[in-house]
Amino acid sequence: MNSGFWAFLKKECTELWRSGRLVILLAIFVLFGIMNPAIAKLTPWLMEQMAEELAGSGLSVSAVTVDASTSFAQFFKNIPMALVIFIVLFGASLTNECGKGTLIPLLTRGLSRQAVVTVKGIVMVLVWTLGYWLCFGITLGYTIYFWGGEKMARYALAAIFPYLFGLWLIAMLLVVSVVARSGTGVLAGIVGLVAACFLFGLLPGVARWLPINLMSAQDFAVGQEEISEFARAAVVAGISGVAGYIGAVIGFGKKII
Amino acid sequence: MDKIKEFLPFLIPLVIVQFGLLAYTIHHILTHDNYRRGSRGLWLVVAIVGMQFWGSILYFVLAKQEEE
Repeated sequence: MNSGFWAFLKKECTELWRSGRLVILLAIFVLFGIMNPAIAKLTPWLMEQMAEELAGSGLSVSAVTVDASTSFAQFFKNIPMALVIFIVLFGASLTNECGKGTLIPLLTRGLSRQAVVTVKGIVMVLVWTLGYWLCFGITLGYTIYFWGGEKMARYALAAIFPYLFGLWLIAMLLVVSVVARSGTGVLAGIVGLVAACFLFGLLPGVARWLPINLMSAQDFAVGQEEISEFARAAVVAGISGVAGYIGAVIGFGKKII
Repeated sequence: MDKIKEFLPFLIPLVIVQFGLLAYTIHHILTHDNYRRGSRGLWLVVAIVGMQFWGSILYFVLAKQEEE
């Protein structure tokens, strides 16, 4: 694959840096990484502050113990938010170029359409990988520092599932980008897809097959669920993700720009 | 005082990242003349009020002019 692949990859990386998206996204992942253990550390203090008020209304608050699991509970709770920000910042990347026609001169000079989709995908995957594990690493570092390093392998394993969901969503983003005409359309498509996942998840027995199930990795981290419960969703996400990528490449080849 | 000391490991990097992001956003706003929406004043206010990071996100998503 050499029809302009490397040149386009270089152009995308430069643009990622110049547009400021890389900086802001990494900053957000770092912020989330710090906030997770910070909130966990603040919880007992917050509870203490609220205890008096709650006592007045008849609720008694017993001492809250905070440990590594509280910190990671925050991590798994906040990752969807980071993912949303990631999608919003990257969602319009392919449709914008089609809409403004900036791709046409490149395509006429021999850049293959396949390379366009692949490079867009690779850049998103790289940023997501870097940001996600940066966030996890920071949370992990603080957690080990404050609460010791027990069971960390299990948390690290659990953290793979939301990461996979992010990869799946990137593949879906490429598919929707081929179909949709504007950045807003892409976001609407992604929102619709996730909403459909939630709705189908209401059906008994279906939920464990849906990629969205990967986001409830917290249940695995605390030992409520076994890994097999997520394996199915991971396989479905993997297959549909690869199929989505191939479909996006074929679809983009036929798209009228 | 003890409470604050306990939180220093969080506070210092948080402050650095947040102010870094704020400075970066303001720098970006001031070095660009054309925005897709809004004006320089509006975006400066948004960036400073939404300091934690929301202001910066809004600016980069809504207002940033694509590089030519």
